[in-house]
Amino acid sequence: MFTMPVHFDENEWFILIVLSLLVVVFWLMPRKMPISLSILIMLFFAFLGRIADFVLAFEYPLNFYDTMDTKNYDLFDFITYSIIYPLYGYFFADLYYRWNLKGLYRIYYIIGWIFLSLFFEHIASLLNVFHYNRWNMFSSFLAYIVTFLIVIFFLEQIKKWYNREVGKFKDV
Amino acid sequence: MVIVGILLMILIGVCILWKINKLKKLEIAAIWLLIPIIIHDVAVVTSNLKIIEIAKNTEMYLSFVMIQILLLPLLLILFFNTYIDIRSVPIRTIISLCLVGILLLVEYTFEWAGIITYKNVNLWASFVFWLLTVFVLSMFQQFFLTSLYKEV
Repeated sequence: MFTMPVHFDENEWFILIVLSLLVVVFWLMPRKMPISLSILIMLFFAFLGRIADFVLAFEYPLNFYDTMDTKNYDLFDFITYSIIYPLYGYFFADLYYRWNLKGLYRIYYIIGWIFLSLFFEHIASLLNVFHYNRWNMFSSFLAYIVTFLIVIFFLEQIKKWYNREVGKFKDV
Repeated sequence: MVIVGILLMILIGVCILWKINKLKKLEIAAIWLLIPIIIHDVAVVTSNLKIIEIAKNTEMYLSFVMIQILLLPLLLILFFNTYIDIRSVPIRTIISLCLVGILLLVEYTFEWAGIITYKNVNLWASFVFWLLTVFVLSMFQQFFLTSLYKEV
């Protein structure tokens, strides 16, 4: 099954604290986005996290970084990919639709999330969630630019499909 | 050569899907995203347990990624297109079992091509895995469709 942590220390605590905070905020936040879109967005982030780390961090061919205590896929990796990334993505999408940003504001929003992600990643790397081999924060910066552009494209696309197939999506 | 074959299969699959598709795009997106998640977790866990080994060769590795994110989702979405109009449970079961057979064949073809190497796997383990995957996906598709109709 999943590899268990070698030592239950700062990286596992960090994951558990972030997880609890995200779940609490998700629980308290008024939900205005349709369930189907919420599911799609969460699936998309669960997918993106797994595929990105599989390509960038798997022992072959790139192995740019490792996560948590071992090189293997451990229980806390699973929690990160399955709950933390989807909830983080959900908040990004919820605010994006809620504020219905246009033009420059949309760019500022993306830049804001890129720096927020870099900030969280920096804390995570200090707490040994990430161990960089041939990776650094600048690589992450470039990766986040690409990632958030893909995410925006996906959000616009599913909104269009929702309008066509379900027909009542309003900006929340 | 292996990667060209996979690309060709994906291309043919997309053309067939283009012609026969009856699913909503949102439905396709949801199923398409869930399949690589399942395959990824099973592949990584079985790789942790040294049950399978993913080839350490760029072409084979890229082939594995393409199978995971494109070919298998495409195959299963084509299946859901045949499944959608059938209401009879026995016929659905037969079609599901046929699909499991096809997925097993595909899996063993990839093993034969050298994309994955089995260390300690038997046919039954693969059969159970694919059967469960098809079952979980069918349940998920029903759930997703229901939530979509509630929003109409």
